[in-house]
Amino acid sequence: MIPPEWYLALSGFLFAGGLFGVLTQKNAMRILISVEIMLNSANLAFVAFNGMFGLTNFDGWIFSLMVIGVAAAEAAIGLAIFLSVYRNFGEITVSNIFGLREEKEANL
Amino acid sequence: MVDFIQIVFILVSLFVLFAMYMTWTVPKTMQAAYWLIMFLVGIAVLFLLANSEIIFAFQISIYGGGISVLLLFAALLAQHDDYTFVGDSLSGKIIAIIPQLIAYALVAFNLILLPVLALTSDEYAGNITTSVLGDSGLTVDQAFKNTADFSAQLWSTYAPIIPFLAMLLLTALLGSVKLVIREWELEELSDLMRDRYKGTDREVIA
Amino acid sequence: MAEESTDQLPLESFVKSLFDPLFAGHTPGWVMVLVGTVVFGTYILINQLIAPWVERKIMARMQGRRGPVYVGKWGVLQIPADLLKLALKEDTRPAGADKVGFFLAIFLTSVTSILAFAPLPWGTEGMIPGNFSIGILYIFAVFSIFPPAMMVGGWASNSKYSLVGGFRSAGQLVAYEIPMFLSVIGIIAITGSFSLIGITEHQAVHGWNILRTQHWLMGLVLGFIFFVSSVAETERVPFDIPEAEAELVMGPRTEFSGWRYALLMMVEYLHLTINSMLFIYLFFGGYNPIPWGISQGSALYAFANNPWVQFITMSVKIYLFVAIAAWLRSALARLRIDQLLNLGWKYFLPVSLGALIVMLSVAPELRQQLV
Repeated sequence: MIPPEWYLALSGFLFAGGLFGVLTQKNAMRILISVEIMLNSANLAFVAFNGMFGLTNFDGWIFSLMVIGVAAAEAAIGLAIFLSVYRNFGEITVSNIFGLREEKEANL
Repeated sequence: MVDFIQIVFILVSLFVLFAMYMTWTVPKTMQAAYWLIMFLVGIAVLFLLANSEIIFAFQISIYGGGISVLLLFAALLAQHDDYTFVGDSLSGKIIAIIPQLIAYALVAFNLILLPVLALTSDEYAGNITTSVLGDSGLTVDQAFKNTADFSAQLWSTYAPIIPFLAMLLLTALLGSVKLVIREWELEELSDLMRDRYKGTDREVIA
Repeated sequence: MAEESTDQLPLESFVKSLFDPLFAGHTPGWVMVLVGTVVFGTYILINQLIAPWVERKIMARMQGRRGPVYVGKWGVLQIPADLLKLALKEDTRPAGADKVGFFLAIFLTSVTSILAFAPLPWGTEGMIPGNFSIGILYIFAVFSIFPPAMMVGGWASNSKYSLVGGFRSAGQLVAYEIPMFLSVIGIIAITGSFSLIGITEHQAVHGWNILRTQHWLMGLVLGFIFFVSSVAETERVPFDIPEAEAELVMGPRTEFSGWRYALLMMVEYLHLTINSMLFIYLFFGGYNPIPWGISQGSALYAFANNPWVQFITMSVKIYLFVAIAAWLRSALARLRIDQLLNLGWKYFLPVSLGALIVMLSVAPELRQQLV
């Protein structure tokens, strides 16, 4: 038997790691990858909570399924946006893509 | 730690953490994408250890089969020189990373400490004995019953989810196709992209 | 992790009687799983030494030549000889190839191909390595790892031809996964179970799915779509443009040589075997030797439920499909990539959706539940 605290601890580590990736990465694709890491950590917590009190109902699993579906839709739209931005700007580094800001604030 | 399943859980979770670390530190985007694929398969094995075979199948087929292909195609079509962490020299990297690592440690500590304190307290200790996570005595009949009950609950109580997900995915599909198929005039592009097409005589970029 | 069910089947009690002296009477469940894995895994890998030989001989005779004849009687030892040569070759890698990615492509494709054999039964009485509740979903899940692994392999080879080959391969595989899954959903719905044993037992009672007329012959339509989609999924002629041996060398697999090439060839024949077995289980009756449904009291029931008869039936049917694949390979020309993708997205997807809807609305098993 695996103690459920282990699942929740791992989920916490992965969520914090995904958050770290979102805040520090400069490439938009890697930011999306870190968002997927965060979504997976949330799924892990849902499945752990579902099995924690015996498998009488499956609300956690059903919500995990919804999260997986929504993550797929979001990844598709996000990548379409990134491709359009790449076609326009020639790069995908988030600190260099600006349309409204002044140029002097860019970190090159 | 005599239980075989606990050892498997620890090994798989170490692999998952290692794969997450590699997605931050490898130089190319494609490498980050395949480390993400390994991360997703590791998470799927953790779902299997929690006795949910059906979420294991969904995770591998949707994430590992669908979203991975999406990410790989997009990473290949939007390639350029990558940077990983800020700062060029080692001391610059360390100085830039330390406040971020402190913030990460604080968030992780809070996320882990509060649920663990709650779960190991006397109030919940009685309820957690019914946990089935990592149950190695699960019979085949019980596994079949779990999947059947899951499907029954999905289609009866939570039935409105299915058309909602279908509409969402259809909208995402049509929207992303419409976003990507567009023809750009050369004047609309930025300086960097215009330089790439300077030698050619193209007027419209598809 | 999951044990066998509590009532003992004859084969299972035979194996337990072999192991009980070692474990003082209580054989744990994982021993049964291990025995099943070793026995059936060995049989499957031995088949991978025979199936390419069968294909080469049949292709050769159709093309007016004789095929392998020198190594062993009738050339039977040709495939083990090739395997030995490839295993002893130097392990080369292109300059600038990504080390982890190069290894990962081989690792993922070969491991998932072998893992997919777990829920495939060879007989009713416990002759299965692992009886999952999600049998066919599991097989499709491990199948869907193949396209990203091929793309990673194509990119990691550091060659633009491999890269484009990887794109084509992933595009083709993703396009034909959808009609394949849709044509299976109808069968799963009328059977009411994901498990392949359940599907085969349903056909034992009601007759082979491809021949049943109660569904307005939708079984035939869906079977045809599944068969053609599985030929596309295994990247065989007429859908082998990613490989295209006369034109693109090997597509995304160009830079893999030596033992990596041996593993990729094994993966191709493993995929052929898995897809043939899936078609046999879903539409052709599985291990049942008799096409029509037989009830429990009939005279043929004992014959149809004999484990040896079922095992031999399964092997004969698999080699029948290997022979059909060899026949297709020597007879048909190759489709271009845009013709292939047109066929998948514009024709197979709507036809399989329509056939699925028709089947779900006329199936007598589903009608009973609505009453």
